[in-house]
Formats: sequence, structure tokens, C-alpha cells
Amino acid sequence: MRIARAIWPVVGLWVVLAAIQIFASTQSLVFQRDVVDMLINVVLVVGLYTFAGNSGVLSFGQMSFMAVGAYATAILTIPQIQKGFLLPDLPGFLADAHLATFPAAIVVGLFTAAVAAVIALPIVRLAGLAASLAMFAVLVIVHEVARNWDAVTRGSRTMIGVPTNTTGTVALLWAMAMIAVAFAYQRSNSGLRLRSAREDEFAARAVGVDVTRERAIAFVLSGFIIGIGGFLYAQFQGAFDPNAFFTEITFLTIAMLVIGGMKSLAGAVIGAASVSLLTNLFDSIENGLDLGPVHFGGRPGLSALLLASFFLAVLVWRRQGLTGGRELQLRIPRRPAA
Amino acid sequence: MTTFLQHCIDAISLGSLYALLALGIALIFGIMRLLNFAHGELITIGGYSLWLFRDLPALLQIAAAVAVVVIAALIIERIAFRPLRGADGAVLLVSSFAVSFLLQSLAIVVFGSRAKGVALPDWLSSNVNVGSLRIPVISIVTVASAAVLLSALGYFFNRTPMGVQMRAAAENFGTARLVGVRADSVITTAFAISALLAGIAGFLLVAQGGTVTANMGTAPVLIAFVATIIGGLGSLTGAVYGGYFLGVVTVVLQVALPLSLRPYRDAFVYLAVIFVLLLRPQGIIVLRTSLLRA
Repeated sequence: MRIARAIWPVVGLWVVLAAIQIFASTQSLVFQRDVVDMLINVVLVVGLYTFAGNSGVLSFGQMSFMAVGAYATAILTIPQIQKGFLLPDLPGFLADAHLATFPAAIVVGLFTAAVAAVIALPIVRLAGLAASLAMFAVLVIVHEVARNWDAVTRGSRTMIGVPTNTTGTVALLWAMAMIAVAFAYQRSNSGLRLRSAREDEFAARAVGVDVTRERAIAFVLSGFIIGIGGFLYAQFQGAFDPNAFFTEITFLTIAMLVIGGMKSLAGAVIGAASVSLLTNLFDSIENGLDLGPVHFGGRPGLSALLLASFFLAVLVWRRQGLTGGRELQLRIPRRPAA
Repeated sequence: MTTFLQHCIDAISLGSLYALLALGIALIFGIMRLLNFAHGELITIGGYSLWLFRDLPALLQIAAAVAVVVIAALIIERIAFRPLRGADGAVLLVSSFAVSFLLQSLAIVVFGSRAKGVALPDWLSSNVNVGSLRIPVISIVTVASAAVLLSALGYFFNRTPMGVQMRAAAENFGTARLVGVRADSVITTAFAISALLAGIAGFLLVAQGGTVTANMGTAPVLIAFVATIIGGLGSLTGAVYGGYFLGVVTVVLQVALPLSLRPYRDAFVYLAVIFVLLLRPQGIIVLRTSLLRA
């Protein structure tokens, strides 16, 4: 019973996501794609949470790692011949590189984590808002490089031909795995030390927590998870350009995290899932709805308008987010004493 | 020599625009600890109001547009920020994202996603020739309005009771309230001033570009954020200097960067931002009093 209670925060989230995916597999193809999209968002927001939620430092640039992951996926998984046409100027060793899907995912994750480790060196030394803004600067730099480095990223042209292997099941398994990784981290010694620094940095330092080091660890792990998110995204869409990894996804993932509740893993997952599903619902309203006798015309911009109103309403009424920053808890009624 | 002077004029005019925007952002940040992403949408509101009031005489048109922006800012503060006062920084931030997102999509719903052309008097887009120098009238208007607004605000902040209270609130909101500064009136005034600056900046941007779009405010506001960081977050004077500094840097990079690196111009600007944050978190220009205190 103690074990069940200890792992429930993870298992409970697994059950919710698996239920949605199983339900989706009986529904239309459009809805199935919406659910894959949702699961990818779950991975991205869990990655963002691993750094921002545990450290309390909001990052405006974590989606740079999604870009790194997606472009690395393109280079590792587009078949060589096609790559010769798409990226004629690619350096030799990259032109010849090719991996099967699963090893590619692992390599992409590790590569993104390595990039995150380099960026972490200066970033984690900064406090609070300065770190958030420095990460925004990183986002702009990554975006500019992706837009102009024609030899590797095709510049601002669309990267095409990525094999589309991200099915609902694949996305679900990765989302479950990343949730487990994030939970294991937040319950580890390093994770707990970082969370103590989030609550009171000076007190944590006073009892010997090396805040910079713990932040760096969370940052690199966050890079790994978001890199996997970029991998799933690239292999789901098959085609993307640098704008897919810029301000829009940044704001959306941050909003998902804050709407769900920034301080808990459950908040990250529930925020990502609910906002993704609502976005798709609002999109269908924007395209016009037939509700029996009532036909609703629809209008461009309406979806974003509804979504923004939803954000504001949640923030004003529940400023701690939907979960209030708590994890899922298993409530089993105690057996009455004999 | 002429080209050099021409570049100087560009730099000062661009810097004036950035300074107006940066000051509006720094004012709200100093008092509320809120990085107001919705500031850009105040510019957009100004732009669309100019379009709506296109049949009025020019001066009236501009005044009406600025008035609409100020009213909009006060409504936004009442609905989206006042209920969240004292909340976590992240919550305030997402709230301002949401407002910005809401207003942009509202603009698309109401006005459509195509750019709207705004006709302003012809003399605004003409040039003044001084010797071999061609000075665009809009540059003169930009520099002059920045000079007038900044000196008026300088007077307001130093010589009037409300201005002094606002500086006190920006320095330390809690202590200021203890000595009798009224939170609501200070914050309302801050939003009104910030909106006034955004409204004027909106007019200047429309006068330069000639059109209004739903997302016209986003890019200038990101640049203004950079200017406030360079000037030291929360410092009002610093923000103004930061704006002018950034105007100069942008023009210098545009002129001096080799052609092959020019597409990466923004990357260099933001790389510089990271260095500023790392090496001089209190801003490049350190002023007597730093307002960035928890």
C-alpha cells in the first residue's frame, strides 16, 4: 500500500494519458492526431517543468532544445539519398549518418542534453528574471541560426522528408517514460535539494545546497526531455521550419505549465493535456460548428481568442493553476479497526 | 561626412522610439514586478484607432487614438492585473501573455488578418533638405516627441507629489505603502503613463510603416525589453538610456557588419544581451540608485 501511494503520482498520470489514447484509437483520424499532438505537448511541458518547476526559474528559451532535437532528428533519420537532395552542403560525416528510429531518439536526446550542458554553464549562474531573459536571448539566437544555416537546417525553407514514425502508441510510451524520469528526478536527492532552493534560496544555501550545480543538473535533464519532444514532433509532422520552435510554442508551453500548476508534475501533465485538447476544440469552433439545428459560422482568430480568455479566467480564479501545485494523491479509505 | 550624419539621425530617431517603449515597460516593471508583454498590443490598439478615426483632422485623430489606448490600458489593468496583485511573477507574466494573445486574436476577429493602410498627412512622409542632408520629417517628429515627453515626465517624476510617490513605489513598493502611498492610484497612473507612451509610439510606428497589422506591436516590444535590460531592469532613467544605446547599436551593426554576417544581426544583439546579464546584471549604465531590489 505504501508503494502504491508512493508511485501513484506517476501511475495516476499514466492511467489518464493511456485512457485518452485508448479512447482516441476508437475515434476519427483527426482526433487521433489531436491526441498525438497532446502527448507531444505533454513531453515538452514535462521537460520545461523539470527545470522551471523544480528550480522556480521560468525559462523563456527551453524550446530552443526542441529545435535542436527536431533538426538533429531530421539529420539522423532522413534516408541518405533524399538527404543528398535536401541538404547538399551537409558536412560528410553527417551526410552519411543514419540511425534506426529508437537509437536515433536516444542519440537526439543525449545530443540535446549536451547542448543544454554548454548553455547551462552561464545561464544557471543568473538569478530569477535575468535567467529567464537570458534564455529568451538563447531562443532568439537558436532561431536566427536555424533560419540562416542553410547547409544544415535548410535555412528558412521547410525541412521535409522526416520519416513519420510517431504514432499514438509511440507518443504515449515516450510521454509515460518522460513522466517517470521527471518524477524520479524530483524525488532524487538532487531534485529535493533544488526544490528546497526554490522555496528559500538563502536557507538552502545556508544548509549547504550548491544551487548552481543542482540547477545545472535539472537544466540538462530538461534539455534531454525537450530534445525527445523535438524528436517526436519532427517524426510526427514530417516537415517543419524554424518558426515552429519560436515564440508561439514558447508562450504556449509556459502557459500550459502555469495553467496546470507550475510546482507539480501533475500540473505540467494536466496543464498540457487540457490546454491541447481545448485548443483543438476551439479550432473546430473557429472552422464552424454544426450543433444540430444551430449552425455556428466560425471566424479566423476566434480559437486564439477563446484560448486566451480561458487562460485569463483560470489565472484570475486559480492563480496556483488547476492542480494548485499538488501531485495526484491516492485516497484509499482506511479499513475500519477491528 | 554626410553619410555619417545620416546614420546619426537614423540612430537618434530609432533610439527615441525605443526609449519611449522601454520607459513604458520599465515603469510597470518597477512598480508591479510585471514584464508587460501586452505593451505591444497597446501600440496595436493605437494603430487601429488611428485607422478608425481616419476621417478626423490629423491632430484630433492622434489625440483620440492616444486616448483610446489609455482607456484600454486602464481596463486591462482592472480586469487582468488587479485581481492578481501580489501573485507569483510567473503568474503575472502568463497573464500578460494571455492579454497580449487575446488582443491580437481580437484584432484578427474584428479587423481581419490583412494589413490596414492608414493615411496620415503627406508632410509626415516628406523630407527636409539641409545642404546635402535629407532629413525625413518623421525622424524630426520622432525625436521631438520623445524629447517633449521625456522632459515632461522628468518634471512629473521630480517635481510633482504623484511623481515622487511613483518613484518611491518603484524603489520599494511595500515601504512606500507604509508611508502612505496609495497602491491603486500609483498603479493606475503608471498604466496611464505607460499607455500614453505606447500610444505615441504606435502613432510614430504607423507613420513610418503606413500600415497596421494585428501583430505590429510584438517586435518593437521585444526590442524594448532588451533596452530595459541593458539599462538595468526597473531603472527608469536606465531604460531611456538603454533605448538610445540600442538605437545606436542597431544602426552601427547594420552599417558595420560584413555582408555575410548581416542576417545574424539579431543573434549578435541577443548575444550581447546575455553578456550584459552575466557581467553587468545591474545594467551597462549604473545609476546612483538601482531600483532592482526584491
